[in-house]
Amino acid sequence: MLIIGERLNGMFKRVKSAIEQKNKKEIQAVAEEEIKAGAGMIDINVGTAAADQEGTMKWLVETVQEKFPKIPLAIDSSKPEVVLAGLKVCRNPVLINSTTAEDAKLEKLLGFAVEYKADILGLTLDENGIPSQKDERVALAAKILMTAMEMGLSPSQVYIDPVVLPVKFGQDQCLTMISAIRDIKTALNDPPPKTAIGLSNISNGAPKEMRPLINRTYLVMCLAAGLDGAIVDPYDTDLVDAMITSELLLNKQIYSDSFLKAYRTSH
Amino acid sequence: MVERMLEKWSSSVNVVTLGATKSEGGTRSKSVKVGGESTLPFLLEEGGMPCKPVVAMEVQDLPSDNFNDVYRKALGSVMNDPAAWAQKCEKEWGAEVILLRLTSAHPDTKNAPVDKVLKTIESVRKATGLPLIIAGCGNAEKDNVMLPECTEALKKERATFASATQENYKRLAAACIAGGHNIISESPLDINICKQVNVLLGEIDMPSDRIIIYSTNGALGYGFEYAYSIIERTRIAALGGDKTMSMPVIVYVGTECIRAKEAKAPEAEFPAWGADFERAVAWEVTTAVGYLNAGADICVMFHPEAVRVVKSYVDRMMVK
Repeated sequence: MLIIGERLNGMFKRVKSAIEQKNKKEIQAVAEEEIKAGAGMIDINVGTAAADQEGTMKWLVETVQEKFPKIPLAIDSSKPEVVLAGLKVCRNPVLINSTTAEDAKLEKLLGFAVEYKADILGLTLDENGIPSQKDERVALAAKILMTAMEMGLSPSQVYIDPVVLPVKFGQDQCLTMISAIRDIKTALNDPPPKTAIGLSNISNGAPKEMRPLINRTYLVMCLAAGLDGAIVDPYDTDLVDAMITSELLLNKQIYSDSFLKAYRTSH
Repeated sequence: MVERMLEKWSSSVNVVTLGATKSEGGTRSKSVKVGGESTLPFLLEEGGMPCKPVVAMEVQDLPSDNFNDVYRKALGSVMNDPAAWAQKCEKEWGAEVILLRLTSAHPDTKNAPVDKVLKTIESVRKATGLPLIIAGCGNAEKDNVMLPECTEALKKERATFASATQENYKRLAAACIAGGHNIISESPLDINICKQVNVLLGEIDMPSDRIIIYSTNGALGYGFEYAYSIIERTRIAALGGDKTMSMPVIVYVGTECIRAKEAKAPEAEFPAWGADFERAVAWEVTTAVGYLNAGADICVMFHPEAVRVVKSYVDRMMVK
């Protein structure tokens, strides 16, 4: 599974103060820690750390790729102009995080993806919000995928995020989302698009000490349904261990007695 | 027009260098690189094979009882002189690498002492400029004492030593790390143990580009398909990015074929099986070609005619 590291986000104090002080080393240290912990892609989100979102995104992208010229980056913003600022300077493999299925936004961001040879992550929501029914989410996934393919992207460049909602506020939605992943992987297209989720939202609002348990349990369930990637906290070793073990049980990795070490050697 | 479906892989097999030349501090006349594939065997439109698979010829310091008359005739008097045997492999029979198997050291054969073995190694080293692979006698206790000393004797030659196993890898690996040699990671027809040995070697800091996989193989008719499937699965894992399975693969074709009944039985006893010579050569060739198509990088063989045919096969398969 592709681990997209979520720690380079302006909402974290460490990152916020590094942004304020233009401390490149600290930003690069966060990226390095994430990579060491297993991240195959670094998500970059300015958050609320700076008023100049575009300038800060540009600086963060440049800072990370200066030290790590190969690691794929996810440019994370709901604002197209901030995404564009990141894309313009990004030389590493890049993922646009994210578009929605709203017509105007979808076309604009898919246009960026074509122009900058980027992968793109599409959330299954539109003007009407997040559908509560599985079939409606899958329909939005189909819309995103088909539009992307019409514009010349290959299915392997498209990640669909069927949107994780907190278990505390909608228990029925947990299974709906998993069913959506399964349908997206099996019924949309051959080859299918990829799927990725923002995992931590599942435990939003739950007691802090219970969140890691909820996160990793849900991740394992999603992996069994065919999930390809997730934006997670790679510092959570138990979570990464659960992910590695899932891949083993899903026959995606060859077993060895030292399977955790074997996986970490390879990634 | 039907679209051609070409597979593209994300990773490639490690490149391992066998032998060190003068400029690298050794005395080999050339070094040989193996591995590096970014495709399944010979699918050159899907990816690259920067190093072609090679044929190593095996020399034994005490010839096996399994050699029948076909082999005794082909190899001739050099069978009793490892240095002359190695030299002939290089000069006349087209070997690209020499594997010296220290059969005389086994407690069940001559139990040759280490200093005698070292002398044999030195004579072979002088007789040939090809990269050397040194295989122990197969007795773990003896090999544990003998092989580390052999690594000393071949210092700076970047030789390759067989074998590290799951239960017994630390001493040989430590000696190979210190001596700058390569090591063969051996497992008993079990892909999970194959991976485990590689992980264990990694844990004690054996560089992964100095490891070669021997996952055990039989001759045609003796578990060939099972060994084939393990090599193939190893290769698919490597191409998919599993760094613990990304090593080149060696197969022992000769030692397995000379003990296959169908290859060694005399024509007089089984007239329906056809001529001895063709049968013996065909057994080695077919076994080697099969494993080459599973992903073998080094085929270790005996019969000069089989070596010639397999090398020519590889050359033809490498034409894009």
